[in-house]
Amino acid sequence: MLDQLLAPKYVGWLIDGFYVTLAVSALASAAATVLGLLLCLARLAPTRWLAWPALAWLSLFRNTPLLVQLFFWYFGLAALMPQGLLEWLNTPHHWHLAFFGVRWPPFEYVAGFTGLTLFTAAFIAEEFRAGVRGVPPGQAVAARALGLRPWQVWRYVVIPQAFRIALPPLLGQYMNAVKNSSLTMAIGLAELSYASRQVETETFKTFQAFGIATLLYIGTVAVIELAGQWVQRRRPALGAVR
Amino acid sequence: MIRIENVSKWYGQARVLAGCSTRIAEGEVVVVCGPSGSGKSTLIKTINGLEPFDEGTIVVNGVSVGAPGTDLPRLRARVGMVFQSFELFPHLTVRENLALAQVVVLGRSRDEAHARGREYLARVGLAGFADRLPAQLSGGQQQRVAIARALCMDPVCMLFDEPTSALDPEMVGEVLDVMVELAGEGMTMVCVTHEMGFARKVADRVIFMDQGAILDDCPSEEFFGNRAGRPERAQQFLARVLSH
Repeated sequence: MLDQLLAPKYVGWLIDGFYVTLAVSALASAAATVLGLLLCLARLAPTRWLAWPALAWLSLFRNTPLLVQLFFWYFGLAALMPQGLLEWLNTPHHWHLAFFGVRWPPFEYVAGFTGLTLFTAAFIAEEFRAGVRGVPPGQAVAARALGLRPWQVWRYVVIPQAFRIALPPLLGQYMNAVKNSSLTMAIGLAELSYASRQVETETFKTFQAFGIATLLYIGTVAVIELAGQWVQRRRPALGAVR
Repeated sequence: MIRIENVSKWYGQARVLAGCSTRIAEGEVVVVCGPSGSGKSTLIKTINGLEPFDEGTIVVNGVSVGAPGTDLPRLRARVGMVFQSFELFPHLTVRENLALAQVVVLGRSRDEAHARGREYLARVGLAGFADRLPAQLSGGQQQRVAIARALCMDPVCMLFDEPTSALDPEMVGEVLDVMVELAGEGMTMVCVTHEMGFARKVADRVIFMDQGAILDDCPSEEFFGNRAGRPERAQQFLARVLSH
């Protein structure tokens, strides 16, 4: 029985990988939320000069596989960059700010974060857009009638409501980001899937290695799900009676 | 206070406003009525620039609505509007609904805005409702909050776009009571409504519209007292709305 367990060293590898998965998906989700909101606003802008580039961006990132995008950022972009910049990105850097050190991450982190952020942002932008569509047009009219300027109408009336409407699908996109982060193993990012593959290769304990990884993924997604339900319950539904 | 001169508007080929002209003096209460699709809602929305128009001139409180340089948000801040579907902001409490535009448009402090909100909430008979969400109120209560929200901005005039049309019959009275009281205080009001009882009781003047044109514009005693002197379309309309 005991020889079925993974040695602590290998469990440590999995935990380290899990931290990387959490960090990359959390950072990418946060950045993608901001970027997705901006993309959504650009997509809805009355001028084509904003709306069309945004539409092109959304189509490009939504309609190509994430794996190909990651390869592009890791290999394709690297090929386009000047040699000096590439060398700088590939060597470790440390800065000491007032109280803490900042470490520039290896290039696969940068490429993985970039790829996952841009991909997720395109989906989040569409969730936001659906949320904006769910806000009755009369709301913006009433806000304008009170003297709010166009940006204030968005800031105080449309976006807060659109965000609430978009919250459940938005959480779904965050769960996808966690699961999609596993693809970054293809560019050498040592996250959970990469780590479980490593453990499996070293120990041949396939079931244990991937089993633990699976449980960690399920646990993370379940936490997001619960957090979402908690937020939903704390805030009463909008416009139950209108 | 409000001067409308030869205002026309087209949706493509369809003319929705056909050379409308009228004047509304300070303190006057004017009811606009007519069959649906007659352009009355469109006309009232041109007064605060929510509906652009293609021809003519509208001047509100000395400001030309259609002029290219006009700061419309600034004008709208002084012209209260109440909608058929209330349009309270569902993500904000009643208190926040009343305070939002006071704070972000007029630059009042939160305390000042809440004090003003409390005052008007009491005036519409909803003093204890500040912490409710709109979804927790009845239609009549929501519309009274919407009126209070507009009044908090110290408007020079109030526009009502079918304020009771979306209400259950038993709630129409409470909203009309607030409007009657407001008229009694000397507020300049333009009301698009089918409530002919309200028109007869408080309106100084009645405007009748059909197919985008103002067909009749006369004192309300004349409008209701001298049926035979009305244009034919207005007579038909009155016969239909007053028959029950």
